[in-house]
Amino acid sequence: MIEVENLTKRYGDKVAVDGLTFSVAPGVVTGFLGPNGAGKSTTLRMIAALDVPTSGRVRVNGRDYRSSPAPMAELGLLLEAKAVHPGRSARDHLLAIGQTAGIGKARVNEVIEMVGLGDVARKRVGGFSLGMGQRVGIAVALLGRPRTVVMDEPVNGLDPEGVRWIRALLRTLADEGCTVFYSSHLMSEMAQTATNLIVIGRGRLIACSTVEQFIAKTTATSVVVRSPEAARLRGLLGRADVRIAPDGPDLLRIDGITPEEVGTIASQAGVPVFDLRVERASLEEAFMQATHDSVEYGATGLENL
Amino acid sequence: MTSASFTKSTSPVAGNLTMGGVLRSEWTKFRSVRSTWWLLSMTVILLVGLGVIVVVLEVNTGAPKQQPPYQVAQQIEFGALITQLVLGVLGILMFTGEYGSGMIRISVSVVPRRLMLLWAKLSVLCVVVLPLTLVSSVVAFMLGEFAWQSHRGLKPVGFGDPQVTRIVIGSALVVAVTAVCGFGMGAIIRSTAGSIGALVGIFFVLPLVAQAALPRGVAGLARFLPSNAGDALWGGTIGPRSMTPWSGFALLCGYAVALVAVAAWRLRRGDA
Ligand SMILES: Nc1ncnc2c1ncn2[C@@H]1O[C@H](COP(=O)(O)OP(=O)(O)OP(=O)(O)O)[C@@H](O)[C@H]1O
Ligand SMILES: [Mg+2]
Repeated sequence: MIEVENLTKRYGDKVAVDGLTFSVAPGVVTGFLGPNGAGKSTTLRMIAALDVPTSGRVRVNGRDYRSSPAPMAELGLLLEAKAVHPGRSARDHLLAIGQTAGIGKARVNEVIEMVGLGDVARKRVGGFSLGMGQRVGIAVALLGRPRTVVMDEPVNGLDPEGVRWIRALLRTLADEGCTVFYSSHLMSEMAQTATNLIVIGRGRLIACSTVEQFIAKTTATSVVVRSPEAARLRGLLGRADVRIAPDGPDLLRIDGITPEEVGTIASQAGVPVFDLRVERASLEEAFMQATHDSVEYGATGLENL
Repeated sequence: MTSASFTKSTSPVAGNLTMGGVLRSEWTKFRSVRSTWWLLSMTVILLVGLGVIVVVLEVNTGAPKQQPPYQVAQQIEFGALITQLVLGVLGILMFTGEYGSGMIRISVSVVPRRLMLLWAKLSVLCVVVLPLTLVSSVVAFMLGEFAWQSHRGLKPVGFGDPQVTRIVIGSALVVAVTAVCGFGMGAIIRSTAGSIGALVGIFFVLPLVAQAALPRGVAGLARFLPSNAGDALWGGTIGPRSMTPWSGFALLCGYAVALVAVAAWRLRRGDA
């Protein structure tokens, strides 16, 4: 459980996080979305008590993280990849972190095997690839078997197999009752992994709901019909609240109506229908829609390429 | 990589954060990077080797004169000057190594009561550095004295001489306290290059600048610079321009305490 209340962080003149309030429930995977510079990393750092909020407060598992007697059992954290002294081995890195909470070599070895670094655990981390470094970071986050896991772009740099693995990992942790909160820019990945979403832009909350609700609320759901008598069907469906766009000679894209209604009207009028389906926007489309006003660092067009 | 393995784990959940645990953690960090062992080896080599070489050259070239014992001891411990820089860097790296790699964020997240981290690092540094410099210094003196004595006609210097004792022990103490100063600078400045610059500037350049540039009336102020204050304990010639040995050392310790205090304040209240 993570509770964020009125959280604000200023760096000089720059307001990185601006009065955020939300909570992240245990037992589900919650995704954290926002354009570049929206304040995701800053928020995650404040959750972990690394950055001091300008105002507002954070509670992890119902308490101030700093006063927890066993911090590693409360929160597992992944921030930037490869936050390891390049000359140290992955094993010594994990051991040093674990020792603060009495975690020994057995658990360290177990976690190393879990993230697939068994063969290189004694090698210097300086020689690791981006994805291997990311796995070290994931191992750190899991080391203490924490009740809450917070990760900043954990998918970054992982190969396809690693991406599937972390998806399974996050979901399994949530199924075990963990609070799982992670940020990512990979929308299709997020759509497959997360159940809930927190979306922010320019440091402010844009949405806090389930993935489905977010897509449904932000974008229109269309009914697409294919019929040889598309023009006639179009006349039958003409209603003030229904918008119809021809999408080809025999294709209609209809907003503001349920597929049941379309099917019933077509059948009553004897209009043959070859295809009738619902088209939902993707998470990516919903995200673009929801955040286009709060993109700070948008690239311009490609005309001058 | 199997996703099943983390559900089946029988490992216990992490235990409480304890000072003993943080000390063990810091020891693991300290011993597991090569730079530690390079700098410690250099310390022994410089502290023991340099003085012995100076003495051997002295007794073998020309006709060595009988010198007062304290001067011989100062020559033998001559390596302490440069060792201050080496162990100062070791002290610096205790924190800057973590800021440089970003590891500090992990360390602070698992030790959110941040001062525990500072005290544990400082303890590891002191527990390693102090015995090492003391032993090296005594060994250097024994070898140097052997070289001095073995030459015909030269009287032994003698460890019993109170001035000699002060120089042998004092040079080791000054080097160790300089390491603590480096530790404080590293924790405050947070970058390795910047901290080494500050250490070299304050300990090695500033005394030279002060000697060359201070007007006559205030030239005496130079004796309060950290390196000159430390020098009073073992290296300097005692005179009106220098502090008394132990008050000089006390001032150097004062600088170290002040640096660590600022470091603690900065670590505790700011962003990690
Ligand atoms: N230590 C800092 N000092 C000054 N400004 C900062 C600092 N950290 C973050 N910022 C600023 O705060 C804003 C939010 O940054 P943050 O890194 O939290 O964004 P983000 O959502 O994680 O972005 P991204 O998707 O690019 O990772 C940015 O404008 C950034 O420049
Ligand atoms: Mg970020």
